[in-house]
Amino acid sequence: MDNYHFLNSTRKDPLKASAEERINNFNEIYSNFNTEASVDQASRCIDCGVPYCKWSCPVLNHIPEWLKLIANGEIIKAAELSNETNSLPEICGRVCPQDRLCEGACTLNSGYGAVSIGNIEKYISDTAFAQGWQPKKSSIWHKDKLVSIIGAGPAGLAAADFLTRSGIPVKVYDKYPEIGGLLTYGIPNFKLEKDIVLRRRKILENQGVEFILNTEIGNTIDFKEIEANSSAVFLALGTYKALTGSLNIKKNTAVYMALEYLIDRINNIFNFGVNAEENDENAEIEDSAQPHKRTAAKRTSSRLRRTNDRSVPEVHEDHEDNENAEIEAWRQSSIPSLKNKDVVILGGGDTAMDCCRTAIREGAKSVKCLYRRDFQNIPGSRREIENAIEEGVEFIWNTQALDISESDHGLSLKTVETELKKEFNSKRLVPVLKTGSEKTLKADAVIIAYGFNPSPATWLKENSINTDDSGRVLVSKNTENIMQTSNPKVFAGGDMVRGSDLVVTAIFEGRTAAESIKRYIM
Amino acid sequence: MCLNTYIGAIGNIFEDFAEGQKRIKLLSPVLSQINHIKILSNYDQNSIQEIDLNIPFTKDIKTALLEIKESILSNLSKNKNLIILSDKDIKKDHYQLHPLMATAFINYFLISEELRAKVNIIVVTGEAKDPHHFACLIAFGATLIYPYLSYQAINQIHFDKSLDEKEQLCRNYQTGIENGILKILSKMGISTINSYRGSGLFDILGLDQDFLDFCFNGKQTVIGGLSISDYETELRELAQEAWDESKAINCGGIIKYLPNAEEHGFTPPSILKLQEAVKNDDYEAYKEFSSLITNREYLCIRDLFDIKSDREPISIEDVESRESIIKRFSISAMSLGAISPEAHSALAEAMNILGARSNSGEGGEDIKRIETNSHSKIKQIASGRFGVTAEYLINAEVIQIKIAQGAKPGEGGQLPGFKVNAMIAKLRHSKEGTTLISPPPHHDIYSIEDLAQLIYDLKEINPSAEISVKLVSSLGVATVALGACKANADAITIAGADGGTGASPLSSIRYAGFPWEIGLLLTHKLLLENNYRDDISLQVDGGLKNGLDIIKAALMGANIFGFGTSALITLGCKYLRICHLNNCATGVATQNEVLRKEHFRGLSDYVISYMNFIAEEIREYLAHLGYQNLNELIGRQDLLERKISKTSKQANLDFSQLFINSNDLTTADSKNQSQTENNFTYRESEKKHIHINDGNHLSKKLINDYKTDPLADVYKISNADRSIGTALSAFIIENESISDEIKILKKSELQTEINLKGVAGQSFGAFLIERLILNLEGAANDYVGKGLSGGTIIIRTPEDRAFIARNSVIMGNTCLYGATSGKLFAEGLAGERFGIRNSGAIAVIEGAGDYACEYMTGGTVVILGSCGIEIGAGMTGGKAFIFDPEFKLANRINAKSVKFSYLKDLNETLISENAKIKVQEQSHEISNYLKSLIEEHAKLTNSSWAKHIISHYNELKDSFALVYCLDSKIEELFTDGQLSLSKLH
Repeated sequence: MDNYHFLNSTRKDPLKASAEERINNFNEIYSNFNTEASVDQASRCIDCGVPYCKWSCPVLNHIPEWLKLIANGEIIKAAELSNETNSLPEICGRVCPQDRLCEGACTLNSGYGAVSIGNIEKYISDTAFAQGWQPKKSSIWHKDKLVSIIGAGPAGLAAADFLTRSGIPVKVYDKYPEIGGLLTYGIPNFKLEKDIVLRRRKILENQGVEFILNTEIGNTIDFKEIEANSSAVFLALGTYKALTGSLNIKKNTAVYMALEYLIDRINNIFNFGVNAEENDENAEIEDSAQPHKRTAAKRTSSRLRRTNDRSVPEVHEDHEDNENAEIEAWRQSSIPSLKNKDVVILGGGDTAMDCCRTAIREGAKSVKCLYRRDFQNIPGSRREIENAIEEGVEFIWNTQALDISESDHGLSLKTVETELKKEFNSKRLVPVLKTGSEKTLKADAVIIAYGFNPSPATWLKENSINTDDSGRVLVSKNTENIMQTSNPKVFAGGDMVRGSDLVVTAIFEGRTAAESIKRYIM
Repeated sequence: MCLNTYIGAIGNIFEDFAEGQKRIKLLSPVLSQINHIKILSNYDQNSIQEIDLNIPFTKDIKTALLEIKESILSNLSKNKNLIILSDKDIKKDHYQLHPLMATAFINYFLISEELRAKVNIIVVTGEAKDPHHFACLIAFGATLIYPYLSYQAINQIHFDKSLDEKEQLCRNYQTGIENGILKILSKMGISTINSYRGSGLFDILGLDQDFLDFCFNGKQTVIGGLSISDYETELRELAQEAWDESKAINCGGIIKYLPNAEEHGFTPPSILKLQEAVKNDDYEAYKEFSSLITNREYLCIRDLFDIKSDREPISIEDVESRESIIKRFSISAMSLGAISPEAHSALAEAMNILGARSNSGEGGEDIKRIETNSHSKIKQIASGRFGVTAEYLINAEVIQIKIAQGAKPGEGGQLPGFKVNAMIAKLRHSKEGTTLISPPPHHDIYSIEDLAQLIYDLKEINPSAEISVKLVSSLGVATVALGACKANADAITIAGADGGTGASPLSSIRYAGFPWEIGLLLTHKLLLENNYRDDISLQVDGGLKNGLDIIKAALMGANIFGFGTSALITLGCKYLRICHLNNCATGVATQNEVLRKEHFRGLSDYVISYMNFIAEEIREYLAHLGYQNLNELIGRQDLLERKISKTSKQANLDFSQLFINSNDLTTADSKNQSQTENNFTYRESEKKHIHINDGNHLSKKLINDYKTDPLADVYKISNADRSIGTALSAFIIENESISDEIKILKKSELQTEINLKGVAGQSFGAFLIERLILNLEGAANDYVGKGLSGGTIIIRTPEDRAFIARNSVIMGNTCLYGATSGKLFAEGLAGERFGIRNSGAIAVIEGAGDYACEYMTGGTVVILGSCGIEIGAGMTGGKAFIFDPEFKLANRINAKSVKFSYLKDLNETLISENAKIKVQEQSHEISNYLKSLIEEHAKLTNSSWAKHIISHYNELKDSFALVYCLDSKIEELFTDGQLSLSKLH
């Protein structure tokens, strides 16, 4: 083995489609490693005595170990190991902000270029699945047990995966017609093609997971019924209530919430398989052709409305100005096309980037992203920002929107410049408004991506499941009954407990909850 | 060494044809799959009894073992003499008895029942994986071990390989284990597995006395620990987890850090935090690092203790300065071969700026660094004696004799050839690419008296240096330390096993060595009890990281504190543990040009910041404790108190044997107990004195005569005159360059010859420099020409002798040890280990004992007569010409290290080695070179045997054999102008 491979072979990522090419479709922008490239890249790992990559990974993936297996060409063993800690490695390989996690911590990241961990993670499962590999099924099956999981997002799927691995039957409920939660409905195709989620669905079903979709608790089915029929319940409903900062948003203006926009667009693509450009013209026809799917889409928007209706106080830690905004149900139909529109996106996280890049693909005339800190202090992945810049998104750093008003020619944003200051008890630099630097920015549409708050359903309280003031479900932190709620039979995890966070963190919570639930019911 | 293993009862050796004389011989105690089957199927089935180590949950360990005992005894009465102890048959609701526990238990009760010699124990186990496991089982009585799980794992990992390949892989594993066992045996100085079996040669740490009494025949514990019932709980939990199908197999985390697995001293957050702190010179960040260390799970013995005070806090302004605290800090020995020159000099520079000391490590140091600020003030002298010259020693403030290394006690070092570049080769007096082996022991130290002699030699060459002896924490360390004190050492270093030493073998990191706390406490206690504590300063190193570590070490009795890995981490080391591969990505532990030049980002400022941070933190602790000086805390063991234990395992630990006054060892639960007077409080004396050699009359006279009078014609010498020539060498080095008068005076004659008559004492001509010739008529004791640094030593027999010179011994053992250059001619035989670790000197002698030319890396040795066995063991460079008229050499050399060619076969050998230069000419030159050395010997010693060889050279030369190391070629041996063939290089 060449001890200097990390020095002699540089970091290479799989080919990325050029910006000109990729903005015309919603395909994933990265191609896959071939065997040769994966071996070459995996061999760069120097197998540190203190594996920083593994330490920084929320699910503690055995990264150096599976890199070594890949370097030796042992794809199946690598897949087994990679799936051991992670329920959705092929998805994490695509959507994780590796530059902030494993690759950011990689020893080689200083001066050599980190090992391409994310792309290898994706390569491992993709290749093993293509070769027909499937995770092992449990040889025992506890027919007398049943765990009901509410929410088929990453936390719910991970819990379902780890429970069925132990031979515990699982039913997963979701209000959407397809599994995945935000993986399916929130993350655009150019980052995660939906086939990947569908493939995972088959694997999970094969493993014994039963999905009950198009089913909303408190609406389609009563929580009490589920609770009564289960040995334990795991709640993983996510966070959906959009934050607006201090912006006062008027009814029926072209101001959209990020998730609402993304779900709307993805839903269209997912259901109709056409890109957004054609969407408006074809919507009606497709609607009548596929009534079932359209109903699902309608349910989505109606659900969003309901969530927005409830004026629960909002708290968002990232905002120094926590003035609560009340969002009304301002829209009855799906979001009109942004083609040839000047679009402004507010926020600097990964969701903001998803919105920017979706708008670009829709054919927006211009896409501007306003963020109140600078490039050095973004909350999201650098890789995503770089991709967005390549695709033509214009960033306006150190700027915050103060107000959005309607003018004759669309919307008018009042903005102000900010300055970053170090504050005593804050780890991040805090933006301070520079008075006198106010400007006006015109736009046809504004999308707000300031993050999400929990949206606790009313049935939580009815079933003695306590939440904190901001609506997050309270769970135990003790090792023996970790993630158990105030209702002993009910466990909760993912964004609805932590507030919005990464996919991989949700997977970790699902896995942890599964262990805890097992201890509780066995 | 041999691993031959026999099964079958040992009969009475006084009876002919006694019962049970039929025994089966195996070449190894590690059973291969085939041998396992063969033995079980061919052995008399009525003689086998099987014991299952899987115990049902309903039974406790003691009951299970006692039942095993009953069953064995009843089976033995039926002559079932072969016990198969197996944990292979795993079952649900059963836990596994550890085979070591069972083996030791059975071994000791068989001994007490006087049945041991009749019985063999075969252990069939999944527990035995690495050499240490096998060695433990054997040391506590196992005859054969069948590691079924290892073989299964190999077969499973390589499921796609052919049967033959799999068998080969298993055989490779077996060979690896066997070599590991041999290495463990060699560390204990034992040659055969039969002597090792049942020896119990392990220190047991962490088991309570009841456990040891029950299973290990009452071996003594120093700190107590795990009880049998606690252990049983763990075994049950393990069994339960093993049957939980949903749980993935644990990836480990024993050698490498893993989140949520075994605790390690350095973790990703602590490493990153420390680097952030030193890079930004940010004390707050350092404090965060320090609290990560302080608040970790209990990992070390010191973690089980809190500090308390008997005084009110004082203002920090009243506490001694950072500078005076830092004087107690030093960098632990890390050699220039191990770490890059950049890292090595950054450490030295930082410590010099701070007024503290860094350590050269083994392997010499570039002499040019003396003029800069990057010169290491502590110079190490280790078993390899690499780069140890008179000049090197003279330029030291402290000379540290490394007896062993904390992370790998009992082992020598090995610098792989690919790490030996031109610079390192030059410093170590070797050739680029040559693997350099440090032998495990110092071959001039086999006793405390020998150590005293080495200290004497070093004080002769550098009287102002503090001599420190580096020992490794272990149960016997205090006795050795006391011996070192009596041998005139000025300081003792207690090295703990917790240090980093990324290049150490994994099994040593894991299993060898003790925590420094045990060694320090035992040593401090014994020195106090013997009134030697004031004479010596105690240094400690091994995983020290923050101010609290230092405070605790001081309270336990240390004066000086060494930092190794943590200092490297400030320079950018990220604990990659690839130090042995020469590819350190941080440029710290590598000699690779690119990595060093482009990726090493360490600055001496970082080390300075770190040392300042620690000192500042110590000041804060001192202020809090109400003490002005760290000195006042040294040995104040009464200020340590046990923390409340988190587990019953911890609660069972009992340190009372280690502390000076066990009453002072208040536990948190009994802290109100009144303090008893501490009889043994130690205070560092203001004036540190360095022990000085009693002036030797001859030595003084030589210096005096050299300075003033002309030298006498002949000086009388007796065996009380030790290290003659050493002090004079030191005097010349120190004075000649400054005193022009002497320079002019001696300019005419480059070398000064001193004639002596009599029997020289030990270390005759040790570290003798180029300017001196010692011409002795008579004989000499051990260590002639130790560390020879260019000088010439001639030893001849008296003219009126009544014996044949070439049949008589003229000097003792271990002569020319660690010589780097110079010449030695002796008209007679040398003792054992002649020329060991020679790296450049030329010697002609007339015969030698066993182990001649061991570990040689350079130089030329000519032996005109017979030699003992194992010539050239461990030799990686240099050459020897040995006169062997009976052609017996093949049985005398160490064939694993060296090969040889008789001069008569030289042409063929050169051809077979694809010599580039004309073969005839070359072989002629080599023969002439040998002749010239013998002629010089004849001239200087007037040896009649040498004269005889010269006069019959054409007949006799064919009987000379040229011995050289396995991986070199003859034409590479002659590089330094030894041959007149200028075309050679």
